[in-house]
Amino acid sequence: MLLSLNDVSFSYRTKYQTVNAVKNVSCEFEAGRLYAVVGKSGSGKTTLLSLMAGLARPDGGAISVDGKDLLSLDPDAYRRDTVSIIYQNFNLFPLLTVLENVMYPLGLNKTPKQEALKIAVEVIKKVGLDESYCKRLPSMLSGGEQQRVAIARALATGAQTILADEPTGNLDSENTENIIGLLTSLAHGENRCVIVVTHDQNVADAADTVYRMDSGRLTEEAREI
Amino acid sequence: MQLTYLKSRFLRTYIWAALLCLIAALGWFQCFFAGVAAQKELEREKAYDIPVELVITDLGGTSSDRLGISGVELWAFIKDKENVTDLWIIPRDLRPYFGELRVKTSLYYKSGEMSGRLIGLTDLNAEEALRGAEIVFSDGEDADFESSKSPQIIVSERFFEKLRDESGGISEASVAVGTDSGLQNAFELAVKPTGYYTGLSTDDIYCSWNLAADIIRSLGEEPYADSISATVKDNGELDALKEDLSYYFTEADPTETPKRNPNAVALYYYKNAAVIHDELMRNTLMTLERNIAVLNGLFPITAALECLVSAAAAYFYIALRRRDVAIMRSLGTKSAFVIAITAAEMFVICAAAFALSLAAAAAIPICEIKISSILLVELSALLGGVVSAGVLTRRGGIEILKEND
Repeated sequence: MLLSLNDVSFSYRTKYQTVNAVKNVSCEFEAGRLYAVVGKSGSGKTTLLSLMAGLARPDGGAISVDGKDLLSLDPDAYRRDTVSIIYQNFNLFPLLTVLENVMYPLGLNKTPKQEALKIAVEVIKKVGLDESYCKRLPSMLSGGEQQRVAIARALATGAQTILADEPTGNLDSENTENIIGLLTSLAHGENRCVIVVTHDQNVADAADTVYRMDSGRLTEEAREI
Repeated sequence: MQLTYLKSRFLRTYIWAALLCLIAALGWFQCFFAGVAAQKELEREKAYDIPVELVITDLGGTSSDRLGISGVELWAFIKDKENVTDLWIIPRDLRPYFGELRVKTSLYYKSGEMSGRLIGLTDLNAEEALRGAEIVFSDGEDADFESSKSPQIIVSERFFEKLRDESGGISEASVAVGTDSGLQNAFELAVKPTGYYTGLSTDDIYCSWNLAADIIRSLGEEPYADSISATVKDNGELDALKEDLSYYFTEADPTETPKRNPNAVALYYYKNAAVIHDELMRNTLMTLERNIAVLNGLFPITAALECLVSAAAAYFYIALRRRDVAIMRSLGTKSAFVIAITAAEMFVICAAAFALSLAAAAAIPICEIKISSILLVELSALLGGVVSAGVLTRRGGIEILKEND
């Protein structure tokens, strides 16, 4: 099992109250599958994703990565080498070119520059962008193109787990379809574990497994293909 | 890769230039401020050069041409010109205090149809009337009036022409000199003028103080002065001068009540007052002291404010990349690395700002280069930037990437 959550809980304090965002969640994720986590706004989907990405520490329970407790791992190394995160609003560096954005995580894991360049160009092509995009800044790209760059960046390090937070939230239907196709091919074609938090029924329909979050609880395993 | 990020920030935005200029300007302002304070200190030093005049007056405070100063008071001013060792009190020598001493005494003379006063001076400037007159000396006689070895005698142009002989030379004149205008106790004296003055309506004769004093002694009296005034040589010695003056003179007193001199060994009353006109110097000094006190008081406040502004500017400069840092952290960049690279960036900016501050301070003359003040501003900026980076890399810093839940 690539990633497993066992009785995971998480709460945070706002100005007026304590929010129990995730309550006793247990689930498992395997390589080669596309997972969708669906639910209403405020149900705790993104918080669950943050816990899996190592951006937050669970209050209770345990998250295991390849059988190791996530809390025992170096969180920076975990985010650098094991998981890649794709955001709804892309979160590209606005002042770096497409190529520089994609090369950034490769620089962090000390990939030699020439090799990093080669990998970056390769993944940029893989997400359907040609080399002419390499020198462009994110502001020169459409939303769909920016999301492709974000996916290319996630692919570049070869991370086994890809976490995507509403990756199609800012895209039109055509681009949504393309991105779904990309994520599906990553899961099925490259044997990666792709976990997508989404409102989008199209994404949910394309997923191999769908989890539903409701008030912090993973209440229903909706569908298994 | 982090360097690529910094490089692109430097090349594709110019906000760093604004921060650099701001920090440099703050550092320079400290130099400017210190320069203004130093300038005021310099002006205070120079204020001691404002001429201070000493004038001897009567006790009532009125300056007069007939003060009748004699005895120890007079010798205190001109003792180096007179033998005073046999006086009953050893006078304090006031002359070293003065750059320009103006002592004047006058007698009366008559020579044929010419008559008027015979005036002895320590300096030509001692006579107010002569300051506007043109003085013409005979060839080879234009030596310093007081220090000349031959007696310098200046008469009116009319008198001078009367003494001119057929060959164009000047002959001696016999004059009767006395202390009263009626010349009842007169002394006959042969004088040969060394020059003449023009532009005055009188026929007064001007000679050196020594000659006049000798004439008075020949008439059986002690030399006296009609007026004494002087310019203080070194204003830093005013206190010492005042103390020495107190042996012979009191301060002007409108009641004109004679006062006993407590310094005198015998019963002795002050006859004249000494007035030191240092009002301009004192007022100037007081104003400058006030200014310096204000500047010195403001200096630490402005320094603190500048450090605060510098630190805040650097803090917000780094805080602007909050999202970028969050992205870096989400991609696995270590927080220590972000802080280190931020510190390096701030160091480069601060070093450039330091150089710019120094250059600007050196180029503008009023500035005083204060390395420590500039460094303090730079260090504040460095600290502000590093603290900002520290805040951005906290665990919660990545939270901004969360858009939904």
